[in-house]
Amino acid sequence: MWNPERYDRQVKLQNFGIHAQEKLTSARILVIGAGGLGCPVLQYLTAAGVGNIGITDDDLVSLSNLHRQVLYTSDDIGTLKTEAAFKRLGAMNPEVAFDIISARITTKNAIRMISDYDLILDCSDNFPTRYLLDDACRLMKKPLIFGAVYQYEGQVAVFNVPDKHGRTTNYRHLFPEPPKPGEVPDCNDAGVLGVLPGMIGSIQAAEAIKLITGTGEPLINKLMTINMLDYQTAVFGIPYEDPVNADIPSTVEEFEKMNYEQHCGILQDGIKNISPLVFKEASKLPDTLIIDVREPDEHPKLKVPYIAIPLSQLKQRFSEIHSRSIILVCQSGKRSLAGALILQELAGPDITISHLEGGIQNLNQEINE
Amino acid sequence: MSRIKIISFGRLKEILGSDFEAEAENTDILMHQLNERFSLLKDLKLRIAVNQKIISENSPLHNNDVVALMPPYSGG
Repeated sequence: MWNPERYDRQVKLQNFGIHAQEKLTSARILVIGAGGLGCPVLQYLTAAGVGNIGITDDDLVSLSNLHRQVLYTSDDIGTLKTEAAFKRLGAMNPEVAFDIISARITTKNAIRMISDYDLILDCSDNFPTRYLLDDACRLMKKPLIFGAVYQYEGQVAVFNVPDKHGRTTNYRHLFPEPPKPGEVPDCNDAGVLGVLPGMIGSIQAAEAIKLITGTGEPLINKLMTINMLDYQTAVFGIPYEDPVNADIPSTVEEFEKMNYEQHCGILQDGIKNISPLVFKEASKLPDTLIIDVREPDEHPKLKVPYIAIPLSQLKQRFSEIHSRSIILVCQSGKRSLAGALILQELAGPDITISHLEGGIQNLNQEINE
Repeated sequence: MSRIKIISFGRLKEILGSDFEAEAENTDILMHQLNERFSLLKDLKLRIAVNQKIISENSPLHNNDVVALMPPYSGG
């Protein structure tokens, strides 16, 4: 049973009341990503008394997260975002039940993961996850609240919820195919002002509350854009025509066979992506050589043994590399992937080439200097 | 020939600059003009909206229409 005093100020609202609060209390909402968008979403949904909240993220808190990921403190650096978020949110509202999922959403776990929830929020920070989640929610007919940011601008939309004519749209109606890698820079490369995901995440949380309680007019089949520099906002109607694209999975079976990294042009055949969580273990495997392809003046330096060959010299200095298993690292994961492609061409199929996904900036501090 | 206003978002704003006016009869002709003028625009994924409605095929343009060019964002 929920404490009426806690929710008094929203229950009091005209067109809200006890019925709306009861709908929130019995709702199950899954938040994919506990980063810039996920933090405000989780805070407001927790404070509003959503009964069950799933928190999904496989990342660790890092120093460069703190200017925008306001659930975390300096003491949380190096710990799992899910656990740090759970600690804060549990203290904020003990009436909410949390499911902590410290894993990346994949084609193998997505269907099971989203089946348990009424509503999904896309607070992820990359195209492979966004397309994966969009396809999974479309196939499972799960309402999806999309939010994304770029520098000083944001987008929000509500997908897979029928409008009054019974029509639904999803992200593929907006952008049927992913952009090429590097075409749309992310927060790591393009930067972002901390309050922007705060604003966009707050709108996503508002949309979630509106959808669950039947309040107002959510952005069903509409895309809202905001520019925080001049407060130009616009709401665009999304077209209903289904995209024509053979690469879009039309059944769960097809979905589970998809490779979204490849779909988004990120994963290249034969190159392994190593996540920050397994990097330390992977670096200890026998005959494994770590190569830092950044320029010599870049920090932080790695604490595990490595050799440094800047990307620009990788080709000339290939003869210095004698290992059967190579892990390339750089700041954000872009140069290491470019380096992996160079080595793949030079080394042939007998050598295992991996690269650190997301780069050194995503690594736990205990591995960094 | 219709005189229209063009607004753009995200990285497209960096390529096209701030809002400006152009003359074109339909969206295909407009995009052809823009691709000629801004070579970086070529092959970028974007959606075109005319008066806040996203269009899926070539659409006629009228005086004072507002054409918005939107790229996808991934940040979170």
